[in-house]
Amino acid sequence: MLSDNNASKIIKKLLVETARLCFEGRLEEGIDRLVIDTIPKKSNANRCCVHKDRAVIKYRLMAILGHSAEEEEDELKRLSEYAGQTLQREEISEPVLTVIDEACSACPAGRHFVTNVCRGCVARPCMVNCPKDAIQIHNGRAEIDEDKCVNCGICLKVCPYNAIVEIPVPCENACPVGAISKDESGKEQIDYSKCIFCGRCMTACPFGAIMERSQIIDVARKLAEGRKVAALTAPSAAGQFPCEFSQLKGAILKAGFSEVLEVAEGADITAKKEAGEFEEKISEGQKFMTSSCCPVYKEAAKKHIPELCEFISDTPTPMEFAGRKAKEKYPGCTAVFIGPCIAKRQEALEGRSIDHVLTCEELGAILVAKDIFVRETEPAETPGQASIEARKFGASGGVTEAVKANLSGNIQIKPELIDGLDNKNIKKLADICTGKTNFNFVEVMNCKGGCVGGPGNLSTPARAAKRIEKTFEP
Amino acid sequence: MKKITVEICTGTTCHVMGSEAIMEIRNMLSERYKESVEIKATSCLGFCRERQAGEAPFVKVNGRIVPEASLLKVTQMIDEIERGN
Ligand code: SF4
Ligand code: SF4
Ligand code: FES
Repeated sequence: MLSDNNASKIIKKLLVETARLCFEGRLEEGIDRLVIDTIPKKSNANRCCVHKDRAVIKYRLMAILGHSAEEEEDELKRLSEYAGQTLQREEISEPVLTVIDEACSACPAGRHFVTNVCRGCVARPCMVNCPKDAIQIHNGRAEIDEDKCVNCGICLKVCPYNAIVEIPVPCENACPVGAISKDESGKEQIDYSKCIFCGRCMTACPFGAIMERSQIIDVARKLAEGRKVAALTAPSAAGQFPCEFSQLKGAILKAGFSEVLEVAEGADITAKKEAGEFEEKISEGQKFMTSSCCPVYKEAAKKHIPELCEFISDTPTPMEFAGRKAKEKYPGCTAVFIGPCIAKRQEALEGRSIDHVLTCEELGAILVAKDIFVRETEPAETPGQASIEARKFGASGGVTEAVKANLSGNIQIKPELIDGLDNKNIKKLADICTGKTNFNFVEVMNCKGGCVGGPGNLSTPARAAKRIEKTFEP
Repeated sequence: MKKITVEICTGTTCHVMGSEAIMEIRNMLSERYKESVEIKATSCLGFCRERQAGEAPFVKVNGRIVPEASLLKVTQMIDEIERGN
């Protein structure tokens, strides 16, 4: 998440400090104190008081340690105990997100509200046009009767002063599939039978109430123990730091990873197989085929557009192929995927070849915790080879280009790009299953701009794409 | 008009803590500053290594350090220097 707001800054700071404690071998000893150090007695409270702020920090640290805030049974259980569990665990459990109900401010449900811009004008178009008779004038100003209002939005459109606003619930507003909603107490909860792990609610909530369950400590601990840990860098990760990619590779090795393998190597295999599959399926008369590498898209199809599933390519993702490669080349290694994606955590849980998933943000936190400065690091090269097309997989249109480069020429490809899975595009995807189409290949990316626009990134999509371009142009 | 140099740290700590967002300052400065303000991206300024200096991201405006820098704080510092304080 790009840090232009305080909620995400606090989380990043906690990631760094927690990782530092782990590298110093003081995690259990120091984690409870971290709450107090973060919110000292005399600090200005963000919420009602320092105690509430501290409670929220505690749940944030639970998420950073990889736990769910929802799993808490005993409020007296200390973070050190949770840390102890994390240091022992070998298995990661579902779900990948957690809602910190202590942080959720139970924003009032989306409704229309008259601001004091209202001048109680003579025409009163709001009142006249309201189909539910929900607007009255009190003390020279319009007022909405919440019991009558159906949130149709007509008043908002007709007011010549823009005096009426619609107050959204940010997380619900951001969710493209209606998976997050209020429980009886007004706090948000995620329905995982609908959730597609896009992470939009997490970036949208201004209270930072939705967090990922991190695996940073699982990885940090293995690095500290000197185990064999391979870093598998997603194509989009190459552009996330202000340095040469080779320096980033050097920094990753310096942090204690034993190898770096570019997931682009896996993307080459995916592109090749996907091109073959495409030619076969289209020549057999299938109307179109879609890409398969974006896990949010696949989750959305599975849970919300089942009729689309038969059109999705069966080819495994670049992450999956890269994971298999890592396990083959470095037997017994822990394979850690590093990218911008939350849903890859879910994909990794369902597959076998990836042990952990870190975001670029979490990799950054590890580097900071270890005092590694990428621009001052000796460059390193990785033994593997990847094509330019595969290295550009992470920007919209990249998958199509890579598939194109692998076609044998028997079938002409007519591509279509779905850049960003919003409600509109989800509807469009549902429609193409039945209607006539003038394309035969669809690349679908949940994040606008492709993975360079993912939620776990450190750089803007434009900057990241430019760095990747600069690194790999011949 | 005084020459003002804004050095935005793009060292790893500051980058992770969001210094890239401050680069946007280029597009946010008012017209009258366009000529006199020079914006540079630097590698680690060293502040993150001494814990007393405050917290990342760091920006230096004419040598003056702005800790926990934001677009607002940096713009305010530019104004202050411009007014001669
Ligand atoms: S946006 Fe949603 S999760 Fe965040 S505080 Fe409001 S209701 Fe809670
Ligand atoms: S992760 Fe995406 S799909 Fe799941 S609840 Fe949040 S916004 Fe909705
Ligand atoms: S990285 Fe900015 S001061 Fe060190």
